[in-house]
Amino acid sequence: MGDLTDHDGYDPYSFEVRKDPYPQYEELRKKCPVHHHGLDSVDVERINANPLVARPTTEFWSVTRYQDCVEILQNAALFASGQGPGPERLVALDGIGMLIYADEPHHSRQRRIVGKGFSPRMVELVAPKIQALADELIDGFADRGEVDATPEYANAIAMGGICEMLGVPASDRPLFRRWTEETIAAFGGNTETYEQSFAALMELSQYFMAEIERRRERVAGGKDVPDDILSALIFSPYEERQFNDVELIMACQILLVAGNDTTTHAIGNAINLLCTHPEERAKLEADWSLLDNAMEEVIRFEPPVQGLFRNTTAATEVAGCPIPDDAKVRVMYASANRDSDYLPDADEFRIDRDPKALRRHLGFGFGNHACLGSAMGRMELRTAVRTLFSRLPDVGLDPDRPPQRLDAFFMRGFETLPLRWTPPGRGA
Amino acid sequence: MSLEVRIDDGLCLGAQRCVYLAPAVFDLNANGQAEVLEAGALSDDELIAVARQCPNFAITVLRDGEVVVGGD
Repeated sequence: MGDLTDHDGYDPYSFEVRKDPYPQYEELRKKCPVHHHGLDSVDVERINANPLVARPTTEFWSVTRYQDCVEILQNAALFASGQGPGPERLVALDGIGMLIYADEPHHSRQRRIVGKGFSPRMVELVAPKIQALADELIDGFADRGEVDATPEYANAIAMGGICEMLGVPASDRPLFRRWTEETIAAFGGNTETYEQSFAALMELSQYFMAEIERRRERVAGGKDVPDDILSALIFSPYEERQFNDVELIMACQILLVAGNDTTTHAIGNAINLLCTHPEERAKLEADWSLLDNAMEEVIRFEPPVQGLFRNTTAATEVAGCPIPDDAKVRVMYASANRDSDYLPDADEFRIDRDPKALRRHLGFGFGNHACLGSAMGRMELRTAVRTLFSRLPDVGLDPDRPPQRLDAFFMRGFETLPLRWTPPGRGA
Repeated sequence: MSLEVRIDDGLCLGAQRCVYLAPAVFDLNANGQAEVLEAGALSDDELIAVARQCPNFAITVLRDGEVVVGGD
């Protein structure tokens, strides 16, 4: 012991960790707050199969304490994003790499254009549509008395939400679901999934370029265009901040992907946590003014994004541990959120925590790359939860079909989340 | 004349860049958005530099009613 960088027994890719990472995070925070992971040959090959890899990654460092994570996230000059949020060290796509793949000066310019569309002000305007969608979905399955909430409720709301923002008509949503799934499958994937992901990106590019051209022609002809994010991206009023066509496509792809699994699994985790913590659920059902705080606690306790990577721009130290230049550093939001130095009794799920302390969690990241869609995600999450639990008051996990955890490196959520309730009109 | 600092709660996402850089000036409120504690706790130049770093462009700084940072 004494060496902070090698803690046997923690393998970030192991099945045990994917099942329940929190005991391991606690060990790491106590004994090895900066954990070095040397990738085995299979993982090296898998990760570096991405054709955009600039230099192969053979190792990375995971940072697990709250304060260390904060310092990294607030130091974007030393811990850069331009090589991507995953373990891969991607080629620097100067001016094309978008948002989570971008550093200054491009990042701020892009964020200003995209951010307006996802501001709390804009999100309020979309909220009634998300409410209508949640009601419509429940209308569709209420009489069955059972549903798998992951695809039929949580993901339907997430996909519906992002398609609504991008102005994608309902009839085209199955296409988008496929493109999104194929893109997401490529995160830490293999050669086959990378090829699929590129094919999906090409199809998505054609779709959006056609729509972008249609809108440009309408504007050129003095006609109006839909008032949605896509129009905001195309017709940014500031010349020096306008996106080129490649940036437009990259923005659309990132928004599709970023708004999908994250929101899906946040909703699933919320449903599961409330169903498995009856006292907390009772508190919420007795006082719905706790909803915002309860959803914040969900994101803290079980963040769908467990951690993302940065890349060092110089040799440095974190918690006394040397980290070389050009190294991939994994910032473990999920572990930071359970750090008792940040929040007392952090391993308990409690919806009535002090809101000011709670809001400092890292579930949406922190600092200049903090989640751009957080207002949107929060709105979708609270709408989904309030609508489900108030319309189906005795909804609970299906005792005959236990939920299946997602087996994923970045995300934490449920592959399936079967629910059951008494159908309306058949109450006891 | 000292600077006036405003947070636009239609834009603030609670990224906490300002709270991190200048905790004497900015705090996080119970809604998870920034609020101004004491604009005079930093020099004008320091305050302007912090305000420019808001990733959501939610901070406006005014001097004698004239916009110095933000507002677009």
